[in-house]
Amino acid sequence: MKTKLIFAGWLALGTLALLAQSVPSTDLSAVLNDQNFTVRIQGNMSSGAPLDCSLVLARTATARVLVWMPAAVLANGSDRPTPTLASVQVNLALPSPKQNAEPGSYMVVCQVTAQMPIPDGLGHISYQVSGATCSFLIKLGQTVRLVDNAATGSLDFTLSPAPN
Amino acid sequence: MKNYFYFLMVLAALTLALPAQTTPPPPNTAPAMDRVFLHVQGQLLPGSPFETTVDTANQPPPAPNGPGNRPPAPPPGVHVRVTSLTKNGDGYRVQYEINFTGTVDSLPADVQKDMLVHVFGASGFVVLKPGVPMKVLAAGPDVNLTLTLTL
Repeated sequence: MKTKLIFAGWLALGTLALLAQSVPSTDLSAVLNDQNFTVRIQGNMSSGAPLDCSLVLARTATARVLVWMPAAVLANGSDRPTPTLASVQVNLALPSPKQNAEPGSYMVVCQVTAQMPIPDGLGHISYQVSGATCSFLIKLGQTVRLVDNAATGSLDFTLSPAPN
Repeated sequence: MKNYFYFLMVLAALTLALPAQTTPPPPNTAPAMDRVFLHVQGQLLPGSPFETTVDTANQPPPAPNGPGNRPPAPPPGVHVRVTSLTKNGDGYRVQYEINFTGTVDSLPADVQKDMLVHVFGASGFVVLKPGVPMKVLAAGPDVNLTLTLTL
């Protein structure tokens, strides 16, 4: 009897150990693999550069694109817009249970950076990189406005189903 | 003695079973990728439209990293790469990378072109159905990108 008890004990321990090994890791973003979404980012960056960018993604998208810096925000009194580089990265996932989000919410992690052109008036331009990373919850069809600390820039993020 | 025998038996079974559980799944490497064609059409800069098609069965290998783990500058042109491909119903989940390299004559002469020409591009993870174009990027009048997957 004692022998059987010891054997059963070891067997139970072994079963528990195997179960612990076979539990798959939780990948919340995996459920977003089958559907495309559109994320539209519209507004002005802190530097004053207007941005209107639409990305279609199932999980993640990155774009490095040209934007035009208005002449009014350039320090040297230039009378024309100056092209510069903006980088937008968007990751989409379901919120984790700890976030206690409303049903139908999605988690957006977004990084927007831009090169601020600094003309020296002698035909040369140097660049200074500025930007921000933000994360927020959003529902389909909703628009979330993010304003920077200095209130010089604001970007509207809109999430919608991608057209088929 | 009998207890010791049972203990050894369970220990041996566990020793055999645990490594099998912890073995990672095989990585989704290029040879396992289905053969599809990804057609890319668009414009990442004003006045520089491009159109190209990549065959997943004949993709060039990814560029090796240079000194300091920075990839070397690619030759001029549009470089498209499908980095992962997974069947999804009647379509595919596609992970892509697109880089545009070249000189941009449409930019003003006083812009330092060398700073700009190597950095434009787009990448992402999107679901595509064969033959159905998907506009994955639009930014102002100058930037747009459409992907079409064919089998």
